[in-house]
Amino acid sequence: MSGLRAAKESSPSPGRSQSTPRVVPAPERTELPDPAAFEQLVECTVAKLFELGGAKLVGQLVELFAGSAPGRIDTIRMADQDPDAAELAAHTLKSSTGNLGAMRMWAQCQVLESLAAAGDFGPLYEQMASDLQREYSIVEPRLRSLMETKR
Amino acid sequence: MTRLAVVEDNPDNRLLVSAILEDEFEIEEHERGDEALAAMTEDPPDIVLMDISLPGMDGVQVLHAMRRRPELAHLPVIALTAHAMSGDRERFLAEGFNDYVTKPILDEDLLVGAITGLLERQGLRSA
Repeated sequence: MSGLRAAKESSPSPGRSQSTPRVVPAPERTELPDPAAFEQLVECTVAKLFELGGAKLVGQLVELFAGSAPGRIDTIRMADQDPDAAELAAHTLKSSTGNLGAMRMWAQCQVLESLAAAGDFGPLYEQMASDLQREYSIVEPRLRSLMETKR
Repeated sequence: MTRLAVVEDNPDNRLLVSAILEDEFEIEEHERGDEALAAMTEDPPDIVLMDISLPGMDGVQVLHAMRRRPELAHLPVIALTAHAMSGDRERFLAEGFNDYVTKPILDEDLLVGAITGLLERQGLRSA
């Protein structure tokens, strides 16, 4: 059983963890808090990253995020082709979004990861994956804008 | 300077951890668990920051392999993970990790504090 999915028995795919038992409850509600609060969190986090490592660090983090997120979102949206890859993509993207304070995407990834771990790729999963795609289209230009204004 | 091995497959996490810790630690980065195990066996660091969801050997498997190797068995290892559900901390400590830090790292003082605190508790650094 993979390290991230113990809610169901399955054949582990190559390259995935196999040793860590885990039970991930599927979420029951998907409402997320006020979008303005998320926007503020992105700004605060980017400001803090500038303090930590300047424009170079922020630029590198934003480029890594922008370079990897679209592919990971595609993998999440095509979960029927490779469920394990979709779960791992949600987990990894969750980490990347958190580093940048994009906590609305973080929360969406958390839900998607939990649903994938439970093998639930139904309407809720599809809706959340669609929401994630839409949120990315808001977050990515916002991050680039913040990066430019703080240079 | 204290040598810290960071085992993490996500490049942005490695970048952020290095930015936070590079002034205080000599950092050795590893992308894969099996690669980290081989390198650390050859030249053990002082402390390890270990992601859990690694490709190939996951962080728990690497930890268990380390505990079976005399040259690595004693090393302090902190789990660095985005698994932050209820019970995860207890689960990772029960696996044999010495401490547990969750991602995202929104407070760098917490990460530095966890590492220096563990080094002090292990007698590897004075308070």
